[in-house]
Amino acid sequence: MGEPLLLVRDLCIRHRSSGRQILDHVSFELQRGECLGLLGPSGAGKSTLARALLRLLPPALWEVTGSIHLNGFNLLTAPEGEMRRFRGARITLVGQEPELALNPVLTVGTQIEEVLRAHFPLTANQRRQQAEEALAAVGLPDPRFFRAPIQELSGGERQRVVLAQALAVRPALLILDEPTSAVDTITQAEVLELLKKLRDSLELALLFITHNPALLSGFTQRALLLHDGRAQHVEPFGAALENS
Amino acid sequence: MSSPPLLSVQGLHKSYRSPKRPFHAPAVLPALIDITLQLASHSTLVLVGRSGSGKSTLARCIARLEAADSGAVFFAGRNLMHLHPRELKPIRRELQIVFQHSATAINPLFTALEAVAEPLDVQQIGHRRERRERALEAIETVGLPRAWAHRSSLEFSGGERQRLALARALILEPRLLILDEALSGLDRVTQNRISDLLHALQQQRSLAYLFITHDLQLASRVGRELAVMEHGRIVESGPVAAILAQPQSDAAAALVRAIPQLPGTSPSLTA
Amino acid sequence: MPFLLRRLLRSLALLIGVSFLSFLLLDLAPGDYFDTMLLNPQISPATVAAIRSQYGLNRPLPQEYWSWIRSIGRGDWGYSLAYNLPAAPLIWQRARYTLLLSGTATALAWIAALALGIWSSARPHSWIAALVRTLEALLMAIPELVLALSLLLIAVWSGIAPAAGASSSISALQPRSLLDLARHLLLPCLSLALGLLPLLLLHVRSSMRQALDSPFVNAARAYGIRPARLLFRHALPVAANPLISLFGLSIGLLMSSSLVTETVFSWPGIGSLMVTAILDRDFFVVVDCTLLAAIFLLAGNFLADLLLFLQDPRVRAS
Repeated sequence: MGEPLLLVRDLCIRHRSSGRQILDHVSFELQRGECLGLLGPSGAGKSTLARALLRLLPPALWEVTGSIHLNGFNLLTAPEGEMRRFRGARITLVGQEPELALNPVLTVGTQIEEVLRAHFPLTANQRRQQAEEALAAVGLPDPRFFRAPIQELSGGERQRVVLAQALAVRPALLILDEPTSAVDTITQAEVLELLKKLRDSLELALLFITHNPALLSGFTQRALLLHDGRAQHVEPFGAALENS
Repeated sequence: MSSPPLLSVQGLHKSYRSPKRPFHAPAVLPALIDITLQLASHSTLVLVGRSGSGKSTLARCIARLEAADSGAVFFAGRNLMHLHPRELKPIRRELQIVFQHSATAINPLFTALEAVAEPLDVQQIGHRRERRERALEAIETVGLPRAWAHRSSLEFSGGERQRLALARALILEPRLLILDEALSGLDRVTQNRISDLLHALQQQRSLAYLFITHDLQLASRVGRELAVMEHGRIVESGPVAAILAQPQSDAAAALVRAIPQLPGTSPSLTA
Repeated sequence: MPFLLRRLLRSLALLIGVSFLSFLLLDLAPGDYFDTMLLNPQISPATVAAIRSQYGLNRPLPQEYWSWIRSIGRGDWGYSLAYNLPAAPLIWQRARYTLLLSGTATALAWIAALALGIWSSARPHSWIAALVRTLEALLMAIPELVLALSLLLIAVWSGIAPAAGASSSISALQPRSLLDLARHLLLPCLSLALGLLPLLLLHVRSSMRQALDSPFVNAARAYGIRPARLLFRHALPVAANPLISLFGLSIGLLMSSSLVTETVFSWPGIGSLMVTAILDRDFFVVVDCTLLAAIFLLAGNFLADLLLFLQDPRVRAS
């Protein structure tokens, strides 16, 4: 298999003021292009883990120990400037509510261009072109979307824009944190279909966070179940989850 | 059903003027078209459809939070459509509505007890001690410990807040509870617990539910009678099992297809 | 465009309403400029009546109002009975001093509030942020008058800057006299700016904090967008809406916010003109000052609407 894309060893996360141990020696790895499910009830620390992987937990509030290696590069000890270049470019996060993840005063196109600008030295034309390509890749090829304020988009369209934003810089690892919790079931099915297509065409590795194991079908046979801060490797469709 | 239905909606119409959107020509958007449905007391009707199908508009029109254009809404034998707001007030006690984000409507400065007792204050029922006692009971009824009554509503998790919202609605002892995506956004375990609670409450009290969701899986857990909405119409209705097994309309078929399936399971949905 | 047009028409309608109401109320108030003449036994009531009719004060109200509106159109803005001059040049001479003072102070206060507010919201745990919060609370607690008087006291003791008036001599605009004006402006301007600062700072800080804590700024941070760009391109435009409304208000108050400061520092602004005009019942000057303040208030609000329209796609869409 070679060196894994993401290697997490003995990750512990503690909330400093309350002293609560959110994660307790969690270890897992993820190969290039592979998908891993992250299951568990709400409050199990799934989203906290996701934010820790991008080193987005403010160190004043959270104590994070252990190691997180991406391509052999230790994310926990890297200087902030290095980390910022990784964040979004190599490892990216799509959160729960697309309604809230988009800036209400910027147009769709600008929001995608902003991410490109953060990582690539591009001319304005190149940037625009790549942003349009990213929108087309998520099924929004109509150039009118580019100039549209986000208020004019439906929930499903916003979800797609968020994906375009995350994938415009071609990251190697996409973390999905309950990506469909805010859309209806039909939109959910469409978004999942799109995600499968994107994973195949971009050779994306996915860390798929959800409380519903059925969403992982077609994505992976391998999942991590978080419970009381401990992680347990499970088959997402095995007996361990029948009761949840 | 021999007894007159608790809720009877007849030929309800409602339309909106569309907001100006570059992608669409401004038009009059029909939101509800000729909606007719009945709900007996002590029973549950589940209304499913994707977002934008008009489910919430229907709920709001039934509860007179919005005015329908034409048609009739009979609740306990009275047509709510043209009632004066003053006459509506006592009816609001009997017809409560819980939204998906009801919990965010709770004033964060209130303790759980104050939040739950507030409807009693508004309706001026009982005196202080009595209200307090009833609020504590309601908190217990929805499965939260009495001891939590003095915590700020901010200290509750999403599922617990939704229980608080439920307690707030139940404290007035309504005859009809409209749950508009009230369990959406919660995880399955929490959804299952609260839907069990709803069943238990229905057994204890003579309570009818109009349960609105986009999630057929949840729908099948909550009730036996289903109505499927699309583009403002009820396109299909009948027993849940029959619709799941053989959906007649495209809308129902799409909802059935969209249910995430565990590999190797049939769409029997014994979640 | 209908949004802006609607707002503009509404402003105009309000302006006509304000002008008529202030005219009517002042007309209903008892007495006029010539009443004091009646106390003088040497002047017969017939003479006073003759003077009144000469100035057109005995005409019916609508006629009087209409002739005032026409004189506004001519650029006279009515007639000052006390100075025996058209009101407009008189008011303009004073208004420009008020504008100079309140304009400079408002600009200074905004620049300081934006700089300190954005800085301290970007680094909420730094000692500078703590200092800014302390300063804000302190200034908020000091009444405007106390602030002005203490500055006055400091000026008198130290002699850094002149304590009163707008110039040392009445000379034309030369570099020297400009410097002299600036020295006179220093204290009243500082006093006014420090009075305005805490309010602006409070709003800048809280709206920036809110924007920086929002889910979309967190999402942008997770995409690796640079902190400075997050601050200015992502958070600031979102935080701007309440600030733009506040900016409109502070423009609207340019004519009326400096009255106390003008009095303390004997600044020759519109404040003292208005007070004497009221005491003298110098009818048109009072109505004009009221109208001028109203024009500024409406223009400030309209400016805010315009900026909001340009800035926020949500406003454009609705």
